Amino acid sequence: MQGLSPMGNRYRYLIVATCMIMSLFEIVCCSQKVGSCNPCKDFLGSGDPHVTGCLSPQKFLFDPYFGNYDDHIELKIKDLIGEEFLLSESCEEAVHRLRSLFKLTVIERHLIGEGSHRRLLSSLKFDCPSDAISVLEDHFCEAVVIERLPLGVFADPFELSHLVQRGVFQDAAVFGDTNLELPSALSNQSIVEAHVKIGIDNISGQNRGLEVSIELPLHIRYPPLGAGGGYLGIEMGRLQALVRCRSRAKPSQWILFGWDVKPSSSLVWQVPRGDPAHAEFVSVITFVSALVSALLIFYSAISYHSLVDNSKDS
Amino acid sequence: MMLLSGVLRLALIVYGEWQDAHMEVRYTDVDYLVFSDAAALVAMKKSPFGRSTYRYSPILAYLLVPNSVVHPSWGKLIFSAADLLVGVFINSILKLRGVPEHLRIFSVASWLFNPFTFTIGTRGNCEPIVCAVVLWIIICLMKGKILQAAFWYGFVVHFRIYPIIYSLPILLVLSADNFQPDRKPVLMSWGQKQQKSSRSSIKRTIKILVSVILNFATRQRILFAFFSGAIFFLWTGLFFYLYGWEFLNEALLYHLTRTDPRHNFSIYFYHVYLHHELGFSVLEKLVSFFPQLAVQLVLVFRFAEDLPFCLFLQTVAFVAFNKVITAQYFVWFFCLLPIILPWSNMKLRWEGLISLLLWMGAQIHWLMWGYLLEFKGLNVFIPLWFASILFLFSNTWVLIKVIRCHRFSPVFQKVSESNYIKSRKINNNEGLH
Repeated sequence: MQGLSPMGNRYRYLIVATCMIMSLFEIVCCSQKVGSCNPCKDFLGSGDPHVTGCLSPQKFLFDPYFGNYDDHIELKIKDLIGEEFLLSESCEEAVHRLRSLFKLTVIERHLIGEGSHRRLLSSLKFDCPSDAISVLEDHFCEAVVIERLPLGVFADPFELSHLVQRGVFQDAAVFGDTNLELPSALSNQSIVEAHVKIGIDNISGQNRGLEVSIELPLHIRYPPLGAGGGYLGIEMGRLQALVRCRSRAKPSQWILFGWDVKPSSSLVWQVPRGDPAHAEFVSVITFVSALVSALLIFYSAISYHSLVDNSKDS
Repeated sequence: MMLLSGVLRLALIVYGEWQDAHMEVRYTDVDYLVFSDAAALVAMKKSPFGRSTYRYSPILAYLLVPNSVVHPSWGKLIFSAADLLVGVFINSILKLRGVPEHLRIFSVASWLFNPFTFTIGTRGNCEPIVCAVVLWIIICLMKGKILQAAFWYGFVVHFRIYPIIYSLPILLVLSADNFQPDRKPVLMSWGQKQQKSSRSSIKRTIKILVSVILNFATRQRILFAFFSGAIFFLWTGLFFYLYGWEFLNEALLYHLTRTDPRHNFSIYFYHVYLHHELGFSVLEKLVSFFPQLAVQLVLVFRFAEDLPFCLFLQTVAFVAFNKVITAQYFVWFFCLLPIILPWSNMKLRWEGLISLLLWMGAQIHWLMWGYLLEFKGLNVFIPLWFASILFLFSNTWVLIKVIRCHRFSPVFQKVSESNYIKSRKINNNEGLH
């Protein structure tokens, strides 16, 4: 298309109308490509956490980096917890007790739905020993996912807060660029941290595994233009998963297990984008249409007298 | 009729609560959640602009504070009450203009039972408040209460800005010919035949223009302009004092400079998206503003004397040529439609029906492409933009049809004409005796 002569470009303007009719046909062809949604499944070997330890109580793990998230967007989980991290004797004991419960063996991620508003489902599966029920009864536990959203994808902090109110999440927050309206070219990345409760209900009956699912509603910004239009594949960022528990008897510190998940296959969101080659003819036709409409109304207002009043005179 | 529409709205609010709790697709408008969040912030003595995308006057957030104290549906009740009030005001305006009862009932019903309008209020959209205030301003003007009209006009422009387009026609009707000091204006009755000289014509338009330029500074105009301006600046100044530049940027300046690259009914959306990375030149901004300005001016100078009709045409044109169009904007002219219907010669079968179907068809056609882009993620920018152009042409067609079928009827009788009619009546009476 780029190699077309100016004559060819003019010819393209003429076939726009044909394209519009053809676009219906195009949709049928494209829908298979765009609508596909392959789950991304990662097996994590032994499932031992990459970090264990204890933290003083804080609402969000990402809090310390608020306002400076750009420097920390690639932080590993150990760096994320940073100086707050404690490993005292009592902590080691608590970690040891819970370690067998939280062996993260599988992470599955899906993009659910189609179009500009989808849900990112992350399922965490843990091995589940026989004493799981008693441990969960003694502790208050929650799974935490930290999603580094790629440029062009955002989460609505107010939508998340409504989900918190409805009890879907224990807590959720967005850090970074929370502007909901700007297109990709004028916005920055953001990070979502969501917490869900882990309870006895999460133990599955069949294989005695423990499964936690977190479904984040995500939205797309208008992507930058791309030659030829088509679709821009936005690859979802890496996930950091954590589990934190605190003893119901001694709730002053969180016992924490964290995993850095490097997905073996990518999860891609196909987003339609505008074609810069359309710019010229779209502008011309837009302004001509506005002018024609304005002139028609102008003429109609000016000639109003002859259309109505004369008929009344007669 | 009012009772039935009240029950209908109440039932829809209750149904909305149920749908929100049980279904994935919410009944409640997303904007209502924004208003409610802003109101919750106000209740906590914080700025309503802490809620991103809250781009309204803080008055709205104050009005909805009971949402977080009494019940989340409080705002919907307020908006639906305003929606019913619009029905009452439509009836009042038509009664003042001497419209027969059967036509009045038909016109009021066209608002109260319009599925588009009764869902707007019950879903939590604040536009019925604006509609009610605009109609109340018309009533005040018809009753000669200029100060009260100015008060509400200053308020509504602060509240929603777009009624600023009504300033010129309002100032035009406030002429010395229509309003005399210490005298109520004389209204033209629905069935009353006009003096030939008062009919709309190009000569008359030019005469109005010349008269406006030469005699603009009448007492009524100065009073209206200064008082409404003072009220506007009072509210704006108060909230600027309370919330600073955040208020000014979000609630006022944003609306004046808004260009949205995301898809909406406006013909400009794809053009804006295709150029958003580079920005827009002054020339481009002027070129896109010119059709809007030209159409507004011609409609005002041609039809200002028939004030409700002029406001209706202006609003339809303003929405059609706007850089951003969302479905809620249609309410702005839906509330003015019932007060022009009795003067229309358009027959419901088939002219009216065809106009309605054409307008709705163009909208549904656009919505189909919009759905494919937004909810199916398909690259349909070109067909969607083409659908926007079709929608503009359907708006234009309907607007022209409405103009052609309208019986021009100035709201006010010229003082000289009313004296002439009075003297004729006296002569006739004397003749009878």
